[in-house]
Amino acid sequence: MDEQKENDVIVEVHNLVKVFKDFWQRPKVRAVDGLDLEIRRGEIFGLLGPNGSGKSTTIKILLGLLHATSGNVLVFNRSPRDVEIKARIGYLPEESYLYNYLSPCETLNFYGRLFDLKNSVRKERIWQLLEMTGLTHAANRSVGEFSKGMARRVGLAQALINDPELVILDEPTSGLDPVGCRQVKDLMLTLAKRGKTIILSSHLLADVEDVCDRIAILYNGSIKALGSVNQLLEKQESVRFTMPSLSPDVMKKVLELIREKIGKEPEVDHPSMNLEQFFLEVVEKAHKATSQQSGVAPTERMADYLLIKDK
Amino acid sequence: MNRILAIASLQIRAAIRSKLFVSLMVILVLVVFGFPMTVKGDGTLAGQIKVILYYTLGLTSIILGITTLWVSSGTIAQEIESRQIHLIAVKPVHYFEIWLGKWFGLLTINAALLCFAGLIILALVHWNVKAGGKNNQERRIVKEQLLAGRRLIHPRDTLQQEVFTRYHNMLSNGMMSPELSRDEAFSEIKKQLLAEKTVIGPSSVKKWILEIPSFCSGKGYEIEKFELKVRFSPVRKGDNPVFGEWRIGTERNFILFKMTTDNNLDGMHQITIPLTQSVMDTVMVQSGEAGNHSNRKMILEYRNGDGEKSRTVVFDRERGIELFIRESGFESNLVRSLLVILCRLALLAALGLTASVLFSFPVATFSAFSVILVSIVTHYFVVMMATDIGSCCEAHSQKSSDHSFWQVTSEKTAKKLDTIFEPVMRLKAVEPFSDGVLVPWEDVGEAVFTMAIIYPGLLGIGGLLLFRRRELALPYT
Ligand SMILES: Nc1ncnc2c1ncn2[C@@H]1O[C@H](COP(=O)(O)OP(=O)(O)O)[C@@H](O)[C@H]1O
Ligand SMILES: [Mg+2]
Repeated sequence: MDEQKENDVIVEVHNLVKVFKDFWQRPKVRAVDGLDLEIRRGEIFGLLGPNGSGKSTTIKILLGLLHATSGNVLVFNRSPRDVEIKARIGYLPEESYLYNYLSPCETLNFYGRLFDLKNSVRKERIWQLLEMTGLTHAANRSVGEFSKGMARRVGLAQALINDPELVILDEPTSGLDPVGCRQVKDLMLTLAKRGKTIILSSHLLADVEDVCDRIAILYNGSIKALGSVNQLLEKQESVRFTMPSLSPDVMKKVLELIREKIGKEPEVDHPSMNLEQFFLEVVEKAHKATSQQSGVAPTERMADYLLIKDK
Repeated sequence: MNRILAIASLQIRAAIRSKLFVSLMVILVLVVFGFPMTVKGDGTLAGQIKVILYYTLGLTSIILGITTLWVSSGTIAQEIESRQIHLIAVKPVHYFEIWLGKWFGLLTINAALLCFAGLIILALVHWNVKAGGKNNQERRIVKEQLLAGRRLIHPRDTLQQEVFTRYHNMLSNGMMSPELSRDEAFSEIKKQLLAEKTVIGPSSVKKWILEIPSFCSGKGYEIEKFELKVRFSPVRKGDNPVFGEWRIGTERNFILFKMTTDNNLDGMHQITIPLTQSVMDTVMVQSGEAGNHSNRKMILEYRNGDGEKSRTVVFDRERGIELFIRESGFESNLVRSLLVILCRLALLAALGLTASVLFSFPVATFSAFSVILVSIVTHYFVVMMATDIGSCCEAHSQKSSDHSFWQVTSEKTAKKLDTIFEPVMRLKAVEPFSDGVLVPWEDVGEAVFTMAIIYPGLLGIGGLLLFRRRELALPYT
């Protein structure tokens, strides 16, 4: 039982502190200040917080790119600087740090080789990922000419090439169009269903709300709130119905009943389609009308290998 | 291995895509073709070819050396700065694999460019020999003496040993003045001995022993592969010509060669002493007949004419007596020279990479270049100190005793430092190659061992120890 639990804790952070120092070792910024976290297998965990609250710093410590000033960090029960565990992690950095002279295809091939993936596996995954991110038609252009969002997609594909158990996404939706955002969210849900663990950081609340199982809200390097989204957002004292429009007299009757019961005037409005839905529809229509693509092709496809259930 | 290769091929791709490769090729073509046309030799075909060989290969190695140092000291530092390293360091890649991958990449680029330069040099030389030259004789000389790999044999140098014996003799005879320290005594004796060895007055005799290496097969040797050259300069007294007699051969069998210079010419004289078949037979076959082929010796003796007719001569210490034996063709000598240069570039790449691990970009480049500068200056300082003791045979300086403290310490530090640089500096490629002197496989082996394995290994390990402690997400440390 104990072992089972051990196995299920993917990331364990205890009292983590990171102080950035200047050249003379004088402390400059206390970016992370006494952080405690425990992330379990199959969870989508959101790190939320305003700019500069220490999200990226925490993530970089989990990846071994920064060293903790004090505190304990375990990833897969090992030190984050252990090379062995890196094969099980996928990482999308806050910006796309890609090689401008490579094409998406070459980029993915390069990172695939760093994971020592077999040739055939690599080839197959590259094409599936390019298709998933809608970059098939741009597979041989160089990343340097890409727009920010397109480069971001290459970055995302790169993070998934090793079919990682733990995916760490630093502001995954920044720079992406709404189609891309939706896709990334779907992707996270799919991966989580397969038992993968996902950590994402964001300052966009919509991202987090839709997908995260649990979130931590960071401010100034320490956690101000931690728990599941429902838990944190639930307002016990109000209720909302959504239904087809009612005829005026039915409506009148319903309102009267409510007024009588609670002794207060209820709020009534017509829900409008939100902009996200509207945008998705327009793009979908336009895509169906054209065949030539210069930007990103919207697609619903998921890379097949990411869908295979673990045995 | 796959990971190292992936990083190496990325490095190569970067060089190609950034047009670095092409621009280097263009520069090499311009240099190799263009430069020799602006420099005139001494008017002969041989002079021209020599200039071509020296400048093309020399400039190629300098250009590639600077570029290699520049590029290598930039790579890792710039990837840290541009944060591309973030995506590599989170993959299951050891730091040494990053270092090695980059190094192999740079090595491959350099190898390709050296091949390219080699081919151009070959074509250029071929074309020049065909087009230039007034007659076949001139062309033959060029082919035999310059477009070849000739092993260079100097007389056995026993100076160090003789200094030692003389010192102990003088000590036991009580002839040593007690004020002299051991080091001072040594350098005094060395000066004396060098003077005795290189300066030959009228009516004096001097003997040299040249050991024929064992690879020259005894009976099947080809006489036209041998050439014996002597270099000397008359001392500036009187206006006699230098007049004297050479004996060449073994103790028993030798030929005499009478030598007279043009009247009262000053400066360096260079003479080729003819080797006859019968003398070479005795040297090559009979002297080795005892079954000991490694023991073949050619004995060379100079008897200066008497004072009425001749004057004192000084033989160049380094290049006074030279026996050339043609051992390989031009092409294979070129290949070996290029290999030695490649090894040197490998060392430069290692130095640059280690610098780029430790410092951010411009600082890394600056420090790598500083190391090179210091090593060159130190080495030449040490070489100059050594020849300084050797050359002043008459000007008996009293300065040696009042060396200041700083002078002594700086000389000592330089010598200590040079023990690090010397194994690298010693291996030459451009100079022998352009003189038609053999760059032997032994040198290539040594170059691979020291410059492509040991030194880069040490640099790499040192760099990696510090690299591992570095936080890669911090652009500066
Ligand atoms: N390399 C660095 N040197 C100094 N300060 C840094 C460095 N990286 C981040 N910081 C500081 O640490 C704090 C947290 O940054 P970060 O983790 O990037 O925030 P975010 O939550 O927006 O990702 C910020 O105040 C930032 O200025
Ligand atoms: Mg951030």
